Amino acid sequence: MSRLIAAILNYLVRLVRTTADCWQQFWFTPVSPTLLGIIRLCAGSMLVYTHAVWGTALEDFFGPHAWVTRDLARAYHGEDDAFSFWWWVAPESAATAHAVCMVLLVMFTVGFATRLTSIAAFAITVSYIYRVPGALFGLDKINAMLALYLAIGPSGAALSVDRWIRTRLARRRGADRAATGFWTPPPSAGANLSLRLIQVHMCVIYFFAGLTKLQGPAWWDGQALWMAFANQEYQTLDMTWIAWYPHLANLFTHVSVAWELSFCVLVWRPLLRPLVLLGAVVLHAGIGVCLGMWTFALIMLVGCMSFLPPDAVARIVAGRGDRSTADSAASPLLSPSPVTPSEPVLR
Amino acid sequence: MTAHAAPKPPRSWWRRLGFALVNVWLVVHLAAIVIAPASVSPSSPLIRSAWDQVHPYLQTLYLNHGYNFFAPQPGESTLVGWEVTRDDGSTESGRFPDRSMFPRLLYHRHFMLTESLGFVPPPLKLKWHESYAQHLCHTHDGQQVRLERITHLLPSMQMVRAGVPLDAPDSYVIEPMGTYQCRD
Repeated sequence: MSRLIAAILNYLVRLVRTTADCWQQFWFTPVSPTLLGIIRLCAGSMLVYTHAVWGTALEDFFGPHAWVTRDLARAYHGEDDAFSFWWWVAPESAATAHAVCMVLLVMFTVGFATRLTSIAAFAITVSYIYRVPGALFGLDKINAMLALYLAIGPSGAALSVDRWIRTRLARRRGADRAATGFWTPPPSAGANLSLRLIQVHMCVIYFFAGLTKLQGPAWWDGQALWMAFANQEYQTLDMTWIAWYPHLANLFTHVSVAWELSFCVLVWRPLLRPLVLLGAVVLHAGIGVCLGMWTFALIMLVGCMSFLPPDAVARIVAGRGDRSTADSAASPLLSPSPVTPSEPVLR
Repeated sequence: MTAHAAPKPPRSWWRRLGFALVNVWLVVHLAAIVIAPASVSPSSPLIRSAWDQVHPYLQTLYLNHGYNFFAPQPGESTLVGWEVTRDDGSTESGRFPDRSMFPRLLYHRHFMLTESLGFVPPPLKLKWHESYAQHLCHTHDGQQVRLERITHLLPSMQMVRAGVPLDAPDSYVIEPMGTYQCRD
């Protein structure tokens, strides 16, 4: 009896220890921040574009005679914690406020004072969103999610003005050139935390996007993709020819749901990851080409970029950008790797 | 994902505390981002009570989403037709969103304004319509504006094969949204 109890206790202790080790390794193992820097450049560009488009209709959406007035927007949010600096901006100052926001978003995108501008970019994104309920769609959700995680991690540690300034200052102080290469920033646990948060959130998004579709009969009877293609208000490419090939419409429908539901499992398998990500490219390119939602399609792909192997990306960027320092700085990043170089690294 | 060694646990007590707090936050955050889409109706009382706890956190960070893209299934779209009458009796009419709007993102913003009419909380519905009406009054210098909600029904594959176009007149169902006097 005492042996059985000891075995159970031993198992429980091992379970807790192993879980704790895996948790620690998953979230806090340092990785190169280069991939996070690339995601910052892409997501930041989308934030700049999104807000530049708001700027073309500032009066219509943020002015005193907006489609949804400020009082109505506040009433919509009620008691919820919907922070927006727009609640306090006077109508005559709207253009100035917007210009300041654009400058901050550009600074964030290029990675200048990123610790501060990343937080500002997130606050700006959410402020615009809460001011215009009713005019939002998936793009805004992903914009805000990426802005949050880029503010949490050191998104300005690579491919940024900050990095350039840091390397210049270090070299001026006589530091070794190889150790201060612009293209080869040191590994960071914060970069891993950020990338992991994006990865996990993308899994949640796809899983629930698939799960909620299972409530709709059209996703079961294979009509759903047809219903999207036949919606003239979305349509940018005439796909009505598919009406003559109903089985093709059924196939697209079933594959879309199956891909979304299985993403959160299959994307973690190194061998399947390239195929899963290729599926993302096909699905989102389809949304862009057929339904005209290029912004949403692209920002989802930016989120999917977090699944690229950060050290392989760092090695490519280092090799292209600064051949003089690439070998010396990138090699230590990769040398302890227990897997073959051709295999996507994943724990 | 990486080839580097996991960091050693921090030694000083305040670093240990910070590290523990980060881990606690991670657990709470991960739970919250799952609870948000799981709480979309239909959901269990357990999930709804969990949602009540994490709602302020998610709302502050704008993470309170169901991620129900094209779910439960793609449906017909909603448009808004309008007719503005000016002081001199002249009228101007139109419909939004206007497909010629550029850039496409701006078109989508206007499209969402009409699509969201179905999701506005009932107590705010009339104010919402009024807000759209006053915006049109202002931009078209009107005295009054009449709004109508246009539902654009989707044709089936059989209908399209039989030659029915996507913009067949029968596919538009029009409901009046009221006439509004312009305030200024």
